[in-house]
Amino acid sequence: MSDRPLLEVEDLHVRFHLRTGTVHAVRGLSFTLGRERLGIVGESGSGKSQTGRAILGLTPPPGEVTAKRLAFDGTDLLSASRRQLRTLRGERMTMVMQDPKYSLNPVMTIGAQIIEAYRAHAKASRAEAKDRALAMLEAVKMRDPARVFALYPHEVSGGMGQRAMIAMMLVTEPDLLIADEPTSALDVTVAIEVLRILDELVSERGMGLILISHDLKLVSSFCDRVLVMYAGRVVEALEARELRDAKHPYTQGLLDCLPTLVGDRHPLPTLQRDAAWAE
Amino acid sequence: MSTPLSAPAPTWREWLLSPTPESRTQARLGRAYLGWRAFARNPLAVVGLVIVFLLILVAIFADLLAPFSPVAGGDLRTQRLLPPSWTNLFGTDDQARDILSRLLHGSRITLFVVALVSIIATPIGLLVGTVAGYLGGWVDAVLMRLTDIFLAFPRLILALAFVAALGPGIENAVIAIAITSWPPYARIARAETLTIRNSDFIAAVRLQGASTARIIWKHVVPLCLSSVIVRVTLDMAGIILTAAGLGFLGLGAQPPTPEWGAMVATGRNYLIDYWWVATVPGLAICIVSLGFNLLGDGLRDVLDPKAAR
Amino acid sequence: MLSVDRLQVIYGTGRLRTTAVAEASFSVPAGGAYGLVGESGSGKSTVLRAICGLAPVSGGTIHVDGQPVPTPRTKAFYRTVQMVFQDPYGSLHPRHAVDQILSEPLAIHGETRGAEARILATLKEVGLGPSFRFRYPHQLSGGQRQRIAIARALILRPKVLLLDEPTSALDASVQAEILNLLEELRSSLNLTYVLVSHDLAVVAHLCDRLLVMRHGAVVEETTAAALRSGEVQSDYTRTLIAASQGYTRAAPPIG
Repeated sequence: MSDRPLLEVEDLHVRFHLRTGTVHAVRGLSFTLGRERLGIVGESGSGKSQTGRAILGLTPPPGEVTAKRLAFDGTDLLSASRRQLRTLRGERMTMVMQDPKYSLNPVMTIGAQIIEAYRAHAKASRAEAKDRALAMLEAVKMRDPARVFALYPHEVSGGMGQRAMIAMMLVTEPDLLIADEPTSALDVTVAIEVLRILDELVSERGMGLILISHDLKLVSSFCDRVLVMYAGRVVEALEARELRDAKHPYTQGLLDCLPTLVGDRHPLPTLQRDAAWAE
Repeated sequence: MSTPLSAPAPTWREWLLSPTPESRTQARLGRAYLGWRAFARNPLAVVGLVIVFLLILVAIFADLLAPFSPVAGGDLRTQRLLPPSWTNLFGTDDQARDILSRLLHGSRITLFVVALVSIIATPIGLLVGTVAGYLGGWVDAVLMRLTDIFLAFPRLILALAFVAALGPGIENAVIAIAITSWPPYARIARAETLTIRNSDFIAAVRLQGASTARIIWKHVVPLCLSSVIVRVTLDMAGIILTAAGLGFLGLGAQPPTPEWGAMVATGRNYLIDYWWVATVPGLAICIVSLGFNLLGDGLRDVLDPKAAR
Repeated sequence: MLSVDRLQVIYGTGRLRTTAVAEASFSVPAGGAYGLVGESGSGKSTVLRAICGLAPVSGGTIHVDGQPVPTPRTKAFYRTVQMVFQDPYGSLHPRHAVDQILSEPLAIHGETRGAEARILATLKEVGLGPSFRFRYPHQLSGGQRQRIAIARALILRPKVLLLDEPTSALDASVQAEILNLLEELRSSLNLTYVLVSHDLAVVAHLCDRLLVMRHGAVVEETTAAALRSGEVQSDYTRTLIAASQGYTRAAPPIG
């Protein structure tokens, strides 16, 4: 394995040119990612989801992505041809999204979708692809893989749908997985299960993972490093275990304002937004 | 009273677009202004609006604009079927009547038909659709079967039947067209009502003790209005053609009323040698239908969030 | 103030019969705050909806202020019990300005005299100034919309407020503001709360006692203090508490 970083992002900007003006969703984001877990945390409007999509080239029009450098395993993503991007996307870098109700194709069975994802990137016969799909469904701890294979997305629960999504996204054995709020639509106990599966799979395969979430506690317990975003910028980057010693007032405010079972503060400290953070 | 450093009075635009409106009127006007701006961005929609506007103007001022009488002809020996000239811009017809004047007065009838059909059919459609959608159950079933019955009538045939029963005339034509026009509006209103019936804001107003009538009128209908208006505007083109068709068959306005469809009918006999008699009113029908179509498309782009780009 | 006794909510008949709430019983004293906790499908929201008449009551009784609730619910009932919904983006009519949203309950109950003053006063109570009066929902942020929803619920001066996951759809920082507002309002207006949430921390913060539900059935009734100290009786509650602490990474694989 080379020591080239898996993902290099330097000065990433995502702008949306609307009739009413330009929305600057991501403003100068920079980081590198090796085979580790990076968490990107922010509230709504912080630009975290747009970052994930920009890396995969999925920014919807009228969005414009610019960066000094955006490279995956040495390949420049900004100047890559569509064909190159198509090979990379889905095969070496994939994305798991928030709600399987909306991210899985409702008119295809789960098995068919996983097979499609596999055969788009690997030359395999239908039988081989089916075996791979069943193997993946087992890897995500589905209780009855053969049965789930034939089900439609609306016939499975949220947690199962999300696991199916993970199976679909990991069937090609990618190097990088971007998970955009993968557990926000799930019950807390189901979310923990899904995260455990993700944890095992990512560790086993030595993948790089970017976990995007609004849940600071979750990200800090799951990832190695954390980037805190506010208004399109990174206001703080730290090791997950050092979260308690966060320096930036926004991060501290975000940690403080959550009600917990441990402390009991009345009233809860609220975030005093400083306009300077958006500079 | 104001200090020299106070902010200058806001311009009209700023007042309308203010993010903190100070009265209901200001808020409403502001939204209307934004809607207008979105509409005006579409040049074809503006063309449609201009055409419809001109139609209305012409209908209002037909008396002033028409150079000759629409019903009284000139000398039947010398002035029949004259080609377009500077005196008669569109020539004369077989009764020596100036076609331009007939065209201008005929716009009144066209507008009359369109307006009356809309005014009759739209409220019926809205009422049936929203009540059926909101109440559901057997009310929904009965009303929708009723709608299906009226939807099954072919417009022209029903008009023929009406006219056969009640005698020809523009009023009966209007009734016939209106009766067959409301079912699609009811369907659209019902579809919209079904999507919002279970939303939280309807639940909230139910929890305030609002009566069903109040909920439907104040909360459901405003949300159905956009789709229905778009559909009505697009339908107007078809209504004009139907009225013209009825006139063509001699079942709408009776002679000597200058109804465009009837004018096309009489001109049919002279099409080869005296093309202007049929073609000019035919073109007018085309242009006005097109105008309503473009206007309807423009309105849909503005009012229908799902069609928004 | 509010007591629910062996409430049952059953939807559908025959093969499609589903029991949303099996048998729930609890009571809340005046000025108290009671929580209903559970995951999706636990029936907690259904209990609230049954109390205010949005869901059918198939069994059991509900008493508000000593009186059994009338079926169908009357206007007087709605003056006593109001609800705040979960989704701030769906609970306000998109075509009505704030002024209209707040004056609607007053108009329905015929209390139009002094309406303007009441609207302004209620806006102030929820921390919004008069400049918000003529804005439309799409011009408001999530937190502001939820404040309007709370204002709308409060304008009739109810005694009981039913809160259905009022902060689940909000950012963490906004959630803190809304929770503080709710707490303050409860003490200043002497309201009784029934709060539904999947978030144990939120329930423990606002409520004294709570009911844990699962698949329509009651698992146990406990207190916020017990949640904090972990002295709960049911294993399910213990799993919920553990899950709320966040994710703990498994030890790295050997080799």
